[in-house]
Amino acid sequence: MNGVTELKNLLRQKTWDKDVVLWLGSDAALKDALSLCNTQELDILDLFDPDNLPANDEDARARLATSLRQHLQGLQPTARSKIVLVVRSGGLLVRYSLGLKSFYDWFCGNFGMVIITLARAAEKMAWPAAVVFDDDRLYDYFTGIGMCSRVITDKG
Amino acid sequence: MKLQRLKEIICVKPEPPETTPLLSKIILEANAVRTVQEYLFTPSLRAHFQMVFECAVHRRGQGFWVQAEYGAGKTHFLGTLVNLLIWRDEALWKAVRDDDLRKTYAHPLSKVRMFPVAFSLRGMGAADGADSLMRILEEQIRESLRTIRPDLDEKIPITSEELADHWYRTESTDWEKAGARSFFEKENKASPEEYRKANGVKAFGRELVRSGLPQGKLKGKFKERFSWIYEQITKLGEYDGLLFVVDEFRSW
Repeated sequence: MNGVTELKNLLRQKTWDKDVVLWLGSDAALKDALSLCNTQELDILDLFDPDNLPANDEDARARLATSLRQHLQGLQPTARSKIVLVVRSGGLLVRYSLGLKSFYDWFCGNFGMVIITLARAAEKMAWPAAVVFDDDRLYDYFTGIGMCSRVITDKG
Repeated sequence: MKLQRLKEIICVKPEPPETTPLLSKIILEANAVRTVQEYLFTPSLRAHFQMVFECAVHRRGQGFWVQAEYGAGKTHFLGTLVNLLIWRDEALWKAVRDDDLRKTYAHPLSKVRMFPVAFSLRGMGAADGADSLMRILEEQIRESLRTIRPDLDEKIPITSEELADHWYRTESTDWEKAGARSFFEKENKASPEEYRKANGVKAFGRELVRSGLPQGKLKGKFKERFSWIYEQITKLGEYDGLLFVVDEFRSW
């Protein structure tokens, strides 16, 4: 796992190379690292239309995929206007098996980079016996083959 | 001899050029001419294009594996190839920088209609299960139908779930429908129609598959399934063939 210096070095580059970073650090450290960048935020939850919520999982997946693609196609980063897209509620990408395909297909390139934030609980939570909680589920998903290109934290 | 200053011989581009093309973007019809225009055909690359074009012109099915080092231009190669095989804009062939290729193939390829399924495997997510590549291919065929031929989208069932749903709606006998009704009422406390409406076609089809009722009707084997898809798309869409292009295979 890499430290925040690696993120700062990456952000300073003139061009990027289909980079999707999994950020495991604090919001404050991320904000500090991004202070000089043209940043946009995307909360995956905001892609749902609150007035027209999907009826089932299948519908939710299809709508989320369409909205995400449209959002990313609309961003159009260029050499003069590079964009770092900070993605929140990434768990929904896992929940609906969307992966990171849309980001790689429509956004990440020389001038567009994605940072997926993943907050992990500092201490083990005491879940009821009926709840099975897999603390590594999201981390394992996003660090699988062909998924996030780098994992960075502010620790160390 | 007086040496020239380096800055008098070369000039620095005002902006860094785009060097990592995205396959999804460069094969859009709006970007096709630019993609082709920027492609430089070296002698060895020309030979590769000829090999693929010959197969297309003679309607001969064939698979090719593209392997080259990082940054060699694999995606640009694939994008140019796809554009020349699927789009019929006259300006496209005029943009080809290689005279021989243009003279030899512009006309014959104008008569070939290929249905494209071009995608990258990067960022696909977990590939668990032995049939995951089959599922990915099915999903990408669906995606291409939605984008390129929305008129065919609902007419062609592709996945096991869709085939089960199609079977229930169009082929099942009254006895089989009664069996399905009994299964859904016992398992889901709903009629098949109610369950389909509430949970969608995929979940409905999954339950039908679980019931075992459409057994033998789902074209479960890889070859059988893809023969069916090929037949449906080429027949209903009036295509000569399907063009599958898979980029970033190592990511899977």
